[in-house]
Amino acid sequence: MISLFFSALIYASLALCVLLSYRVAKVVNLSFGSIFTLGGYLSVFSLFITPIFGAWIGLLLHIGSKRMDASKATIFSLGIAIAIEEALRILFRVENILLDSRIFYFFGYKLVFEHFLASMISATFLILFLAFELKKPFSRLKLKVIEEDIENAELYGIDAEKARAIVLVISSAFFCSIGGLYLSGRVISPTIGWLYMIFSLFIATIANVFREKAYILLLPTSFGVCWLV
Amino acid sequence: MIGKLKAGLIVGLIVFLLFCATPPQTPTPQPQMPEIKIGVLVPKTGEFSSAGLVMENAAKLAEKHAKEMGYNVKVIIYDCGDKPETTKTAFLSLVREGVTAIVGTYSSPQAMTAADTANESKVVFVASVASADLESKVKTGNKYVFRNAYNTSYWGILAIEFLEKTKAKSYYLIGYEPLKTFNLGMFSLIKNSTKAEFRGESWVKSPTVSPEDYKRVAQEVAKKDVEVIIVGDPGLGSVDFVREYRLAGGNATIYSVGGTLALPDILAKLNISGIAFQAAALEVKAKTNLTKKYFEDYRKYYGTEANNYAGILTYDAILIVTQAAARGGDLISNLERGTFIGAAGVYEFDENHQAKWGSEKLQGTIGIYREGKIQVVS
Repeated sequence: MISLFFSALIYASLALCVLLSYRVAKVVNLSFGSIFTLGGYLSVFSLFITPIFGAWIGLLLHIGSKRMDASKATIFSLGIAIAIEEALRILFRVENILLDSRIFYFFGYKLVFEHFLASMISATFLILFLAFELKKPFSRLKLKVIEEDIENAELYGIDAEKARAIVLVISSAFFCSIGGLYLSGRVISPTIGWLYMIFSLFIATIANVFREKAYILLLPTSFGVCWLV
Repeated sequence: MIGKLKAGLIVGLIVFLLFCATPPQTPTPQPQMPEIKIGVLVPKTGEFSSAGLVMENAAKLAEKHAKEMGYNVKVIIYDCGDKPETTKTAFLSLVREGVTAIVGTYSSPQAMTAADTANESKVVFVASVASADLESKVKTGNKYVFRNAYNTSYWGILAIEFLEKTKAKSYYLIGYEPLKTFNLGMFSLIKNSTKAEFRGESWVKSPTVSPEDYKRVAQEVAKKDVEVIIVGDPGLGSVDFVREYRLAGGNATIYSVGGTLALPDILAKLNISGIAFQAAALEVKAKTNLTKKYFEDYRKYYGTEANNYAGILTYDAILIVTQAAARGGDLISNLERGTFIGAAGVYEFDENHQAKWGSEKLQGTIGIYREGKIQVVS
């Protein structure tokens, strides 16, 4: 049950990134899967560089797709995903890398330390976002206007492009960091991140049905989906 | 008279010199040999893409080694994905390339589709990984399909052999849903042929449906009192399962169908004792003069340990087709009657076009990782 809860926390935070990219940046960011994998490969060198590389790819995606419509931006993100995947194949050559991990005892449960850390970071990320949602009505209103119509948002003087850049940079950095931690102890291949992205996309799609309540209901949705499947 | 003698001597000298100048006959293939084009179906994308990469590497290595042996071979690799439909499309594309034969595919449904497409397009197909019931295709008149990989029975035979050698009293089966056809066939044979007590079975869902399902199964199985756990997943998930099983307190010996859990570097890094696995060949137990060459060159060119099932059998399938095609004439007759050397042993095909695994010169190997090294069980 405890590992189910930790997994649900991680998927809820990943789904939050997917949902924000879709609603604010207007892109179904298909590069998340490869960014997640990249995090795993970068963790071979250092976990601290994962958010930097993730943020850099998010910025690249923003710059490359800011003048595109939603469908073209999505295809562009797929292009980035394939480019990362191929780069990993060329740079690392080997087909199987088993990442190091440490064992950790949590109230008598044996856990992988890096997975525990990923859950704690995810919980913090979710709490911070919900605090932003609930405690800052003006910022929340700005976000809502951008979600509904970018052109309207710009008419109201909201810098939608800046919001888009922030969302893509933070969500990509987050995906890359969690990839670095959550893939610890696993055998990784250049395509492994797709599984996690698809699962997060699935949770985000269900949560999106609840419209305004989507962000708040992400964690229960994630827990429900993890428990069901 | 002297003039004639001189002329005779000169002619004789010229003939002698010409004879000396003639290059010695090379025993095998002539440089003028027509090109043998071999298509390889590899799951580069989809659920089996990690196996696809090792198959691709092995195929390129086979081409290189065949050329070194003097064969004029060209290997053409196509992505067959993880579904029967994508396999059929890739197969037909290779047919349009004018290949002599096609080898590869991964899962059973893919191999069954490739076998049917081979019959329709009249191009030989050699299944190098899947264990599907291809023999029934041959029995019903499809003479274009061969298999150098194990059939389901042989997978079961090796697992039973392991249970008997280790005198295990009980066992538990862990199936992998994307490979259900293969796992069910193997499990059924084990259940019907071993004296060890069957303690139940669980199935791990496809990671695309549930990436964490191995955790559920590992925690569930760790509570069972059992001596041997037979794992039917040759992919990356098997490593996750083993790690999670040990974390959950399980201590049974794990017998894996091989693949990722049979790679020496993975076993060494994982460093969990009591992991047994089957392999078509192991470097420590050379079967032919190609065994060592395969493992050494794979390490040299790809910087990692060679895969000893999907990789080595794809490598062998290419060499089998090359040797058969180089003999000239009808490829099917050559495959049916010939003997072919590969890295995993010496191949011959039975009347159902199945490689004779279990024969004297072609046998699988069982290894176990214990106390930091791989020991050969049989």
